[in-house]
Amino acid sequence: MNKTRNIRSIRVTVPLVLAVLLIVAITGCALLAEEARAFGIADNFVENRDASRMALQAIEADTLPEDDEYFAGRAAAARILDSYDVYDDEAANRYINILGQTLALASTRPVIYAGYRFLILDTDEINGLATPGGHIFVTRGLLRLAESEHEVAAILAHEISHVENRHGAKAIMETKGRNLALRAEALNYRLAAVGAESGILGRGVAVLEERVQSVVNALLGDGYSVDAEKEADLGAIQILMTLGYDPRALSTVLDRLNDSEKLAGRVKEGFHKTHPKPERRIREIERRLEHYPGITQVDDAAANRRYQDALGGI
Amino acid sequence: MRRSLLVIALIFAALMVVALEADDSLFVQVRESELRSAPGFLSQIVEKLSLGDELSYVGERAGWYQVTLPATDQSGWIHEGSVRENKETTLQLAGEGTTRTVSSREIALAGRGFSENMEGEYESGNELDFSAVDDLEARRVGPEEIVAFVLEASLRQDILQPAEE
Repeated sequence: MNKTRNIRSIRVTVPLVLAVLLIVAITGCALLAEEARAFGIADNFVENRDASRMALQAIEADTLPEDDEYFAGRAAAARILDSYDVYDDEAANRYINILGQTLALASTRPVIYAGYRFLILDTDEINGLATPGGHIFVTRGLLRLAESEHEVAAILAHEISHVENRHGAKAIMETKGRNLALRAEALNYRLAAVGAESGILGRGVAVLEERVQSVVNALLGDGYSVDAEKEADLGAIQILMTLGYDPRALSTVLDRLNDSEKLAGRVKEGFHKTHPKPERRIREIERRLEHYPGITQVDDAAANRRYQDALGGI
Repeated sequence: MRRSLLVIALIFAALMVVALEADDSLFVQVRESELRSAPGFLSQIVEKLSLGDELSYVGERAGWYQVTLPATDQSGWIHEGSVRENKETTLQLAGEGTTRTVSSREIALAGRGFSENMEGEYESGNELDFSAVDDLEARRVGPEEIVAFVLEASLRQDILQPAEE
C-alpha cells in the first residue's frame, strides 16, 4: 500500500520539479518554504536536497553511474535466476567464464563495476541475456546451436557487446530523473548526518523495482531494439577479430537459429521473441564481412578439444 | 497551476550551486581494481585498490592512466574504465546560510551504501534470493588462466600486451 502511494507521489513531484528548474533559470527571488510544504514537496531538507540534485546533475552529466548499472543488473539477475535453473555442470560453466572473460578483455569496455560473469541456464529455450551489471546468461538451447569454440565465442561476444554498448542502461534511462533526485536525497541525509534515511528507502525501492522491470522486460519480454541488436552484432565481430576468432561464426550460428526456428515453427518464445529476424542480421553481418579474408590463426584442434571437453554434451 | 509553479520557482531560486574547477584527482569507480606496473590487464599488480580510493593523474596512454597513490606515493597504471575524475561541487544551502563541498568520490561512496540498503529492501519485498547472484559473481578467472587459454589455442595476443606508446 505504501508502495503505491510512494510511486504516485514521485510521479506527481518529478514533472513539477522539472518545471520548476526551468523557471528557476529565468527568475530569481526569495524562499517561501511554507508555500512549498503546502504542495507536499518540501520537508526539512528541501533546500539541501534540491541543491544536491543540481550538484549531482553537474557532476554526473548524462551517464548512468557504473554502480547504478550494476545494482539494477544484480536485481535483474536475481529475477532471472528465480525463473530458471542453473545448468549444474562445473566444467561447462568454468569454460564459458574463461572464454567470456577473455572476450570481454578484447571489448571496448573491458572494465565494469564488478566484472563480467557467465552462467548457463538449464532450459531448452534458445536465449541469451545480458544484464547491465555484466551478468551474462546463455541457455543450453542456445549453446546447442554452436558447433565450435568460434561459434560459442560469437554467442558470448554478442551478449558482451550489449553491455559494452550499455543497452541495459539505456533501457532504464527513462527513470534516471527520479533516480537522481533520490540519490541526491540519500546523499543529503548522509551529509547532514541524519539517521532518517529509511524514509526515502521505500521510494528508492520503488525506483529500483521500475528499473529492474525495464531491464527484465527488455531481456525476457520485448527485447532490445533492432538497432541495439545490430550494434551488438557489430561489436561481437570486432571482439572476435581482436582475438583471431572467425567473425563469420556469428552468422553461422544465426543461420542455424533460423533453421531451428523454421523447423520448430516457433517464433514467439525465448530468443525468437526478443531478437529481430535472423535473416536480416545475417545479411548485415555478411555485408560487413564482405572483404574479410577468412583466414584465422586459431589452432582449431586445440580449441575444438577444449570446446568438446566442456560443452560436447550440452 | 501557473501560480503554484511560480511559487515553487521562487523557493528554489534562492538556491545556488557553484561548481569548482576539477584538480588532477581521480578516484576508483569500480568495486575492486589494481594498480599495475605497465598499461595492460596482465601486467604485474603493484597495489590492490577498491571503490573510492584516490589517485593522482600523471599521464595517459591508449586508454590507460598513469597515476600515483597519494597514500603511499606508489605509482602505476590503471585502465580508464576503473576511474573517474574527482570533481568537487559546493552546495550553497539557502536554508542554513552555509556552504558544503561535496566531491564525486563522496557521492559514489554514499551511493553505494544507499544502493546496498535498497537491494536489501528489494530482496525482502520481492521474496527474492540474491545468493545465486553472489555465487555467480564469485566465479573469478585468474590472469594466468586467461594467458594459458589464449596461448593454448594460439589466439591473437594483443590483449596480453601492454599498450604501446
